[in-house]
Amino acid sequence: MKKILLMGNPNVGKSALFSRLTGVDVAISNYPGTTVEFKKGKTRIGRETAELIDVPGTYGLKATCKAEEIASCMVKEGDLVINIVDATNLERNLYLTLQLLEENIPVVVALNFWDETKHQGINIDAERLEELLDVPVVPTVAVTGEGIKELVSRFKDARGHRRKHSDKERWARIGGIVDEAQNIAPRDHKLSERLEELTIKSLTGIPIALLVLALVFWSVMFIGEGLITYVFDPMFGLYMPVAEGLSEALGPGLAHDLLVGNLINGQIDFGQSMGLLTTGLFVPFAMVLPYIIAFYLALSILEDCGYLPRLATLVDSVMHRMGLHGLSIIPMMLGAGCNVPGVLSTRILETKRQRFIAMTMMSIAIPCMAQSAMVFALLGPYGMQGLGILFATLFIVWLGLGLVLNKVMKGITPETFMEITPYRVPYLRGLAKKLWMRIRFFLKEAIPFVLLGILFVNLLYITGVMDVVGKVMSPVVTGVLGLPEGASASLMTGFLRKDVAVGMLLPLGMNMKQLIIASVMLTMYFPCIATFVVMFKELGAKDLLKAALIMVAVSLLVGGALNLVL
Amino acid sequence: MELSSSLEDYLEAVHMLGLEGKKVRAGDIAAKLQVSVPSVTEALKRLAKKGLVEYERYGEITLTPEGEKRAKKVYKRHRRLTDFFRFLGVDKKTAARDACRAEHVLSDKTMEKIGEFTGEGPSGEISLLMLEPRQSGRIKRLEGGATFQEKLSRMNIREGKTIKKMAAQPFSGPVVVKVGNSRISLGRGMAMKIFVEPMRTTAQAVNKR
Repeated sequence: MKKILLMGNPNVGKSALFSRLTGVDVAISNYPGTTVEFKKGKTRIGRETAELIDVPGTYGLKATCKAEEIASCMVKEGDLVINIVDATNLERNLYLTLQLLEENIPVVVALNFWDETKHQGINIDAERLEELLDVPVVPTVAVTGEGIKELVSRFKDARGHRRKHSDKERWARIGGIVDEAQNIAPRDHKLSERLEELTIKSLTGIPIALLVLALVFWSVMFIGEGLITYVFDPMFGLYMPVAEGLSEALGPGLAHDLLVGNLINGQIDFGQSMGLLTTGLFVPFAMVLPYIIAFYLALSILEDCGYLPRLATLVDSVMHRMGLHGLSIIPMMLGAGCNVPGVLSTRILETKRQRFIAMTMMSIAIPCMAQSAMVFALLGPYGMQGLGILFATLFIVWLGLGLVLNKVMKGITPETFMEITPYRVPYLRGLAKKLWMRIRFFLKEAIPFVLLGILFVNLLYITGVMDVVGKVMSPVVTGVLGLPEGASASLMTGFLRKDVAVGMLLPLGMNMKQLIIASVMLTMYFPCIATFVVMFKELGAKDLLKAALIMVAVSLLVGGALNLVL
Repeated sequence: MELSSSLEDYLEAVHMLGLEGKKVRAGDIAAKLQVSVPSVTEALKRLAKKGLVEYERYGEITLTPEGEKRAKKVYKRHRRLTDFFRFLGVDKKTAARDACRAEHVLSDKTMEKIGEFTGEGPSGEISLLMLEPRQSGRIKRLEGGATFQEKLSRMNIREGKTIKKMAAQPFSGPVVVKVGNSRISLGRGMAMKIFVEPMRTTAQAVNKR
């Protein structure tokens, strides 16, 4: 089977084109480095099927970083390269194009963001460019699919050259090409320039950043609560008679305990009964999903409009004190949705040290949205005070841990060097697709583990293991943390699913202080199994062990301290 | 010929007022240095005796070629020191005031080293770090190893390109620049290795007129 490579600078639309050609949905955002792993898919060209590989973005082929090294190796294995070029940034993008041509591999050029060139007063003569480069050049708009058919039809004309050039010769040639094929009418974009300045200067940028983050938080709460009240609660109201019918039909016994769970005051309580078909459905759908939808909607808008690289620049100096780049704000925000994609996206950081620090900070102090949603339900009745103390504690731990890790770990943090991608109006269909992908990911990952968690809890109670564990753990749980013995069960379940674990705190009748301590513990003491597995893959056993020890130590320290202070 | 620091201040003041394009009179100098007119007259007499300034008709004061040379040197020291103090994080007012004092006493050797640090090379090129926000410059050269240079040139930061400084984040945060149609955020250490020939901002051009 033929191998086709999609190559280009970061953030030029490779993934969008990949998605168009293969029909496979992949995440597309407006910041460099959305794609951190190779994605493969199949596409049909005429009667043939070919393998298409979405190569992470690179500015050049000579290896100055890991991504480029990999890209350079890939070129040798490919049969055809689709070189995607940002038409609004022709000069810089052509550097990679010339390098690719020198590799003597057939190349076709997709001139992407074609629609934007008109707004920006950029006029490119695609035919002349084709003559000058001596390979097919096709204008495209990858997100809408414009020009894709034409691009595919030109694959057969793809050509490569053999002659090697020096850096100087390349730039000289690019200068000539740009002069001939491109014409820029200077156009004042007062409004966008102004917006650019306001959001990047610290004096105005920092207040704007705080406003944006507050707006995100507020809209997540507002949309989440709204969805629960008007959509999901009524849905479960309709489901209640079904569950009750089932409860009666089953009668008391093991099957009832597992499927429906305990009756509370003779009634099914979706939040507390702990049956697979009651709590097992209610927690993921009615308590967590609404916030997941709200959070990913807000995050996706932020990603697609291009604000995140600016935020990263503003927080860069703070993040550097924790041994990280400003850019690591992106994994952290993804982690607030779910730690699994958060951990994976730390690949945008170039050193192992940075990735270790980022992963450890995230898995200790950033609760995923599923857990946060349950905590909102748990601490909500106490107003902003309870949530305020909880999130302030987590933030302080996050900050302190970063500062300490940076001090004690050997090595330095390389300097920031990052492209700030332009502001774009989010493409609605793309946005909706990404939101759906993320919700689907949640449903696929979460539901089996939620059910497994609830099954696990029931089995522990039925076999009496829980009583033993409760007794064994009581010196720590009751003694150090000041929690009731029953909280041990929740802490154990937290290994499987944190949202279920938080839900198990509901029937224990704890006060606000205990609820805060238990929530802090559940966030910090250990990642859930899904996060644990990806951390193992990314870090290896030795570093994961280090991270795990830090987690246990820090959580006991902070939990114990809160017990004394609050 | 040694000059006292106060006389150097007078020379510098005449030069700076001249740069603003005005006809310089004793009253302007007095206002600038916040001293009385008689002290200005007294100082000017002494400078005239040393052949550094000339009185023209209607009380206009100009520098002789020798005076101009000395004044420029002091003024250059003043600017270089202000830049340096600003780089250290000192506020604008304090930086200018301290520069006014230090410019008279520091040795040429020290001044040269400070110049190297702020990136003010021999031909008037300065490091990117020293550009004002919104100011543009033409890239003259990149320092640092081959890998570093290559990394920058990939992003079109290379000799001859025009680069605009958009903002610098406080607390040694990164510098944001615009090259061609792309914006790049780069660390201060990197910015210090990029040397540019500054272009006048519109504000400066207006002042000059």
